Amino acid sequence: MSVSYIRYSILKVVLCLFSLGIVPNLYAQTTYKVTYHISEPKLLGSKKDLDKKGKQLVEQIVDYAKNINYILITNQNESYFEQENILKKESNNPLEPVLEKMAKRFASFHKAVYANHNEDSIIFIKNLLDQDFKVKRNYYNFNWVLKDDNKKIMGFNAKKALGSYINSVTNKELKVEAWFIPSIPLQSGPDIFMGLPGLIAEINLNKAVITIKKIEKNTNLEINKVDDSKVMTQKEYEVLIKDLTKKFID
Amino acid sequence: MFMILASTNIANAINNKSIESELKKQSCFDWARSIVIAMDGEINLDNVSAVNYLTAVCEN
Repeated sequence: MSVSYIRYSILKVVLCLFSLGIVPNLYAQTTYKVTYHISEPKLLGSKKDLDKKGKQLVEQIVDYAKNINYILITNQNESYFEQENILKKESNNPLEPVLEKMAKRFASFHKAVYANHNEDSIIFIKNLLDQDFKVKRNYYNFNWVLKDDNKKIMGFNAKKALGSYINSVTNKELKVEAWFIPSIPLQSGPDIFMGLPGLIAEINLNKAVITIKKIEKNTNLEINKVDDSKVMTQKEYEVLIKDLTKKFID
Repeated sequence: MFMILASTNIANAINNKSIESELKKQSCFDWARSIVIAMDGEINLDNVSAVNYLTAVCEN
């Protein structure tokens, strides 16, 4: 039996597995733990009107933001995303809780997001006015447009996509630039950002750039489920936001 | 007479203290608001609790 015949046979088996959908199924079974971080916090306002103490605090918040990590546990069927929960060492800095709370504002992510990729649905927990609200809805529609641009992120070849969506809280249309990795065929990403033909490695939002920091493959990881028994619909959530905005902002 | 003077002084002291704390509260609120505006560009439902939190931190 010649070497070329063996190679030909292997290729035939691989192609056969692909046609039966067995190889893509390997991705379905593989669970990834993806760590994201705020790589570039952005200020939407100006520091010029702040006093010295205020300027110093904002600078500290910007620095602190770069230490905040988010974790996505995902496979092809579902995903769970939240801020990294780490046991903090005793800090001598009394400002630490203030810096952490304020630094999270750059990403303005939900407290947690669970996605069911088979149903194209998500359940998110949003903290507003120090109260958690749980909402179940369809995927956000980003109207992704794939671009030809490529760049390397953590050694992976990433492709660019542009999209936009309506932020339910501010009722504003926001643009988003995403970079996804086609060689990791998972439609997941940080927070509500998903639906691309590859894992999202970076998103450029109006207040921050969020970038992948670490990818770990582990089939034994469990994906947290969010109890969907007491969820609001998107419509109910929008009515609530209107009422709260009238009461607290207008 | 002494009693009237004493009670007037106490009332003034209480009022001054409350005016002082009100002023502090107001300046802390303005300070907190300016920080959140520097970060987010505006006050909205998503960041109003951050204003309240920073105000409380400033007051204490």
